[in-house]
Amino acid sequence: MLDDGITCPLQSRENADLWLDYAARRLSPPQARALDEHVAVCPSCQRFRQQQEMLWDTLDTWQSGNFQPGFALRLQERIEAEERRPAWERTATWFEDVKLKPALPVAAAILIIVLGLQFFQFFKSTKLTPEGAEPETVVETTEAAR
Amino acid sequence: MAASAASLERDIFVMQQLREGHTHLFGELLERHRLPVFHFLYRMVQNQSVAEELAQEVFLRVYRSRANYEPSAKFTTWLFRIAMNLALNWVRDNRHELGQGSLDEEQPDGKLRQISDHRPDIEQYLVHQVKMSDVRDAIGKLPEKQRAAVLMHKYQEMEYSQIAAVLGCSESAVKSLLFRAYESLRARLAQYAG
Repeated sequence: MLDDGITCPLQSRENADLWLDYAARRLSPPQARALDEHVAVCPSCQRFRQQQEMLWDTLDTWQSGNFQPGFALRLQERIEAEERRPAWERTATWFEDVKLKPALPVAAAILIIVLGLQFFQFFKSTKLTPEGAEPETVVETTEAAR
Repeated sequence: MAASAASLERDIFVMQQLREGHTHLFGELLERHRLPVFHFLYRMVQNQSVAEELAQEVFLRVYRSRANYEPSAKFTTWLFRIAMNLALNWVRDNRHELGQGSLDEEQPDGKLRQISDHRPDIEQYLVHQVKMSDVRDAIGKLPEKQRAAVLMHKYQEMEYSQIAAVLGCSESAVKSLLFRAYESLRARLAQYAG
């Protein structure tokens, strides 16, 4: 804790947020006052603030663009075209939108494992049944002979 | 993007109306959100026509999802999550194209770059272009999540909670991302620090 009332934001994790909010001009007036008072006596923070302000101004030079004319019209046409598509096609698009793509390999792997297990079970049971049935037949034959 | 409570409620109301078939209200959503979405996409993909195409896709998906929309989060959070996912997919598929802007490319305002023969203007113009290009490159080189966080924090002025919801992480994780991102940017753009 310094004389000015706040722990140096460059030294303390919880006060470090102040610099993010300062940069984004989101500090409340009491927070801004406390930070100003601290910066006045802290050379590290003075340097940091200067760098942060420069960075902010530099980032401001990157202006975004604007739409080409007809954006809404093109979207309207796409929506109308979509409305005319058959229901199954729209459902397929919905599946694409909800990002099932990454899950497909996993689903395929699970399906292969399940099918493999089913096949293995089926193969095992068809192979064992005649051998297993043989003693019973013998017993039945013996009982019938009595 | 400090949206008022009234506009947030209005977004949800409009989505509910869309679900009930009042599709004419879609234009209202489009009008209110297309610019922020486009600006975010433009800075993510750094290409005017791709950003526009992706913005179309975002709103098309909103329209498609109207029947299933549940107001569990802020509308803008949901909207930006769609935009971010589309942008990240595009960036991953077209890594080599990011930041390949040239002097032949169209300006953000849609006009082609023109250099007048008035010398001080040319100098100012070129200095500005170099600076903008450096900013674009520096942001383009950030890891994907850091880049998205910076764009939402710096340019879209979104709250930490909203950025966290879009990125699917905690608020403290967002703050860490932002610290690291601004630290990298300060280092990469140090030549402009006076």
